[in-house]
Amino acid sequence: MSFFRIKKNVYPLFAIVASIAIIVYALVMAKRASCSYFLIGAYFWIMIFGCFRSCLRMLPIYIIVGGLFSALFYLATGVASSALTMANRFGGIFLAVAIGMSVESVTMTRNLSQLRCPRSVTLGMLIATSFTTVLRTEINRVRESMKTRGAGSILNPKIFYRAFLIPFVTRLVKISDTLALSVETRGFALGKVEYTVYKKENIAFSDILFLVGIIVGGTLAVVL
Amino acid sequence: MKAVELKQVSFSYDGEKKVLDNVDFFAEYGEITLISGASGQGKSTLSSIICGIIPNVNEGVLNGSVLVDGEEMQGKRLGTICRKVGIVLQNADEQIVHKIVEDEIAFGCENLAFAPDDISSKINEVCKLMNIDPKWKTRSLSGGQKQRLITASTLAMGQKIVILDEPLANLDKEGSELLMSILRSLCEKGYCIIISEHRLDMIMPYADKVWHMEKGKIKQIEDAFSYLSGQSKQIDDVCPRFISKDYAFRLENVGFSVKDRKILDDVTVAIPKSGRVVLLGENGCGKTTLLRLISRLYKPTKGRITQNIDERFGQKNKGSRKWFKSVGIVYQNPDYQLFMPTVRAEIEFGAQSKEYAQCVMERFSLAHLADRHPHSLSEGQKRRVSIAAVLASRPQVLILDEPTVGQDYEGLKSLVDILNSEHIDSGNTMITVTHDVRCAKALCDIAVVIKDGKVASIGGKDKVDEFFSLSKD
Amino acid sequence: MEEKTTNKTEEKKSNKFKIKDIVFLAIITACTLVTGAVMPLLVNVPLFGIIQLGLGLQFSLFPVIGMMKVRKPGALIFMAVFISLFLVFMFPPMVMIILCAVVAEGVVLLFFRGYKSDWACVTAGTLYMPLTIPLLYLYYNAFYTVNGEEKQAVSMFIGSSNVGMAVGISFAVIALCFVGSVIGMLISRELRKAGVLKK
Repeated sequence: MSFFRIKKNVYPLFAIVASIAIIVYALVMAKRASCSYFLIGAYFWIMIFGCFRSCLRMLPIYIIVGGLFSALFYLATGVASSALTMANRFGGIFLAVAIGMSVESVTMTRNLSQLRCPRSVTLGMLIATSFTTVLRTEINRVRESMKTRGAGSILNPKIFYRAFLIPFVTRLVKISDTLALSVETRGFALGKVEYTVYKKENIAFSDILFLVGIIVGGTLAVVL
Repeated sequence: MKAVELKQVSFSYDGEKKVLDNVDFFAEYGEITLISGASGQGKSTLSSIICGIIPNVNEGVLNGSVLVDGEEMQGKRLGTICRKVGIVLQNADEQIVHKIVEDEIAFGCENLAFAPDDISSKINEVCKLMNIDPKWKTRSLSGGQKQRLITASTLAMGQKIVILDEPLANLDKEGSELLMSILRSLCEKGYCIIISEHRLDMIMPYADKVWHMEKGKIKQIEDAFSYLSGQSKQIDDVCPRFISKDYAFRLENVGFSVKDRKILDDVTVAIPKSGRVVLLGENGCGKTTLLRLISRLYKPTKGRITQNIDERFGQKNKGSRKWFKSVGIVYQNPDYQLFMPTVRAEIEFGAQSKEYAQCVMERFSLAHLADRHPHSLSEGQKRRVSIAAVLASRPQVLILDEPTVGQDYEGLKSLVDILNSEHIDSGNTMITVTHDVRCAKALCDIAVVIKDGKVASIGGKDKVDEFFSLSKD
Repeated sequence: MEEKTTNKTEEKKSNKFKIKDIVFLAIITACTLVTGAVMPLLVNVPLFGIIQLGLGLQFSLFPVIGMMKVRKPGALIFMAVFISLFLVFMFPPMVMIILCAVVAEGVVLLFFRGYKSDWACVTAGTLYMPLTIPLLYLYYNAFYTVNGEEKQAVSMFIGSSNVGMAVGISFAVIALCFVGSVIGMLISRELRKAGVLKK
């Protein structure tokens, strides 16, 4: 397995550029068979460059969702090319998401900090990315409490407002207040302040190879 | 030189009502200083002033002199103060921003512009001290480990003065003792540790100086031992002697696993009807999972749970709306369970009748708060509302998951009295999970000790004594 | 004159973002994103306004709560920047949501002179998502033009060839976002009254 993991993470900014490139190529060339070849090639390419797990994780979701939409479009139009178009479009998006999933929020934040991005943006990004797990837990707890208090179905708008949104937003506010205090008392400050980056993100040869590979592959698929 | 010294400090949030009134306080290097007192008396405000949260983040009118390490702190920015004083806030879970322990600890050091090499050595140093691994994933840590992580991330910043706000609230005996012994060792290295805590039984062997806060005033306690003993004595049980006749739940070889991880294994126990059962055990031993299985929030992956509450509910482990009216669950954090616009509406929601809801409100001393929004109440009042709201539907079984966390002695005593009087009146079956030695016996007819996902022993009140004295040793 | 200058300085100071503002806006953004995770599925469905219909409610409700707590010009733009950092991996054209936030904030500042009024937050929340409709429409046309299939985007989007239906869907999106914004306002008002939502 470690053979496929030349580098743990792609240079974060290159990952963004690669994602955009893949989506744009996939949208522009969606109707062509060469787009499918490009996407298959890109899939293996990004796997080699450290996105192995996320690629594997996205594959079954892509097969189900992409397959469903392709089948629907084939049934609606009766033309095989519209199914191919849908499969390519979804392929592009799922590949971009796979790259996004493999970029750790901490590396992205450190990369942006290194590039002297405003601290408000780096902090916001760090929290927004790391909070999805916490939010999922909070949502589950509120829903469980609804159940135990016999609040009824979440599909009822009145109940959804009262028994779900009110406790949920209350929790968000409380978490936010505690977290803000914690961040501030741990020395975080906005504006022009001195700070360091514990582990710097540097561009490696493999990063350049990764990005060039995507761009060359896409361009070849357009040209040929 | 004193580490912290407050001279004639007064503080008010609105400029009128004084939260602190001419307070004189000090804490020294090499000592653990405890600030004790009931909820809402100004302990957190005092801590916030020392570490600069007041007036830098929470605004108000602050008068007097705040000296830290001999230097006046009034007018200094939080960024400057936090280099001298570190604070470990409550609810460690809500403060973690990174996925890996190492990154979380590095966060404060990066903000103080430490060199990367220094950060690395600080991480190793505090991880060793706090008994955590830098490579661990933060989200998979237990409550105790999270508390140690947040403490570690503060200690890594290198301050010699550290304030901890209720650090033991969610820790079991073992976790509390580990944390306290680490803090003791820091004191021996010359640190000044200031703790604000309700669980005085745990602090007793470690505190060097004790201060008592009441109505915004503070005084040093000379005879700390008798003060702490008085504040941490066990609450008396008012319920008559229980005689078991029938069972409410019978668990036979029950197991629960998530993927390959066994949380409970081979649990066989009977919960008697109209009895009070206390589940005891260390953090992560499976107590809460057991509560969830009994209350049908989870389904066992092995074994069988038989209920004897009502035939209508069957034995299929399916929790319906009617089931949850008969089996009331009270969570540790009342915020999740309160959603109506007034206390009255909250208690009337699901109540047998409006009259009964009124009766419950009076019994819980909530009638004067009937028109208030539940979320506008103090933590103790919110907890009372959440229990009252559950009891208003007259459940045959009442399940309480850590209902006493963060309660001061008086608040705890009144809560236990209410629960017991309700139990005497309604004859409900009560199942409680608690780490609190002060109330465990008062809520217990039968004690079940869980260890590593298995029932280690079952007994009466003597088991509670045995459990707490064993963990003390 | 001096008093006026002091007031202006104080206003400027109070409009400056604090750490607690950033943290709350980031958490609200995370919330919007978690509930808007259906985006990758919607972007390829050829229905005019489908993205906005699918995401309108959560993209108005949560941002309004954010604005009602922070109440500072730029709050919506902050949230849009955080959101777009994620959307870039799902559907890069939606990064234009930043532009929509700038326009929505501009309108609010012009008519309400800030976020003091609750309705200013509702207006910004109502305009935010519907503004992406014309931008995405332009994007698709430009993109299909690049592809050499002029104006196919227009015919591809069911309803867009029928002006009446396109207008109808646009109004439906605005109505949905208005409802979401009002719900956000009601929640915020209730929590403010309870003392939970403090500035």
